[in-house]
Amino acid sequence: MTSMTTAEAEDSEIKGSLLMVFRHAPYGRSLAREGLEVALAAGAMGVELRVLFINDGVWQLLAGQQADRLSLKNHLAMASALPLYGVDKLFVDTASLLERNIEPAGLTIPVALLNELEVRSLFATDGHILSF
Amino acid sequence: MILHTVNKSPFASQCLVDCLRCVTSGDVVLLIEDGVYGSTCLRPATLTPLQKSITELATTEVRFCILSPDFEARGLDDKSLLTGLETVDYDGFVDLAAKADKVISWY
Repeated sequence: MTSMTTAEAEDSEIKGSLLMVFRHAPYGRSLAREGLEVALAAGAMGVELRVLFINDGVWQLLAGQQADRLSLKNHLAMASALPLYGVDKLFVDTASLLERNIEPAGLTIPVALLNELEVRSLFATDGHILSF
Repeated sequence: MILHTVNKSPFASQCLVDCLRCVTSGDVVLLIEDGVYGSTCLRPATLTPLQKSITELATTEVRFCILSPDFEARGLDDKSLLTGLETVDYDGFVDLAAKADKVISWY
């Protein structure tokens, strides 16, 4: 591997930051679960990472999930582990909550609520995006 | 009686809307998997047009059911169920399918 200049190193640091976009509800498909697994793995490996819950992805944060009714792992319990893996920049699109009549106060994981403008700037900031 | 099963979230898919356009008197609509998100209203004061049409249909000729294991797994509970909707378990699903003349899956 060739050595990088300071400028290149800084550039790669910016480009190295990752935005993960969670757009799907848990359980119906495996997307939500797989996204979470990637986030946990990336967090464990020290990747600078931010997570945005948007559209049906906000259902992942609903309290009181009883995944055992489907013989599955509890998605919210897994999501709660994100901060333990160093993934503590968690964002939620407020409009998606409102559209689904979900009270922000009912969310049990500490998340930052974003307006439309802030969501757009989140997409603009990170070097890489992974969508689940 | 036709049994209509809907398995997609109404926020991500047209399935439920498409289904409601085709139901007739005496039919049963069963929401399963991510379809159960169509049965909830976490804040009853603010019904969406889709939720309004479900509650209206439910008071008249169409029976709406929700598969309870799917409903409960997602953290939804009876308190957030739209009025006029009922929950069924897997046995209830089998009964509905057995009683139905025809079954159509909206997916």
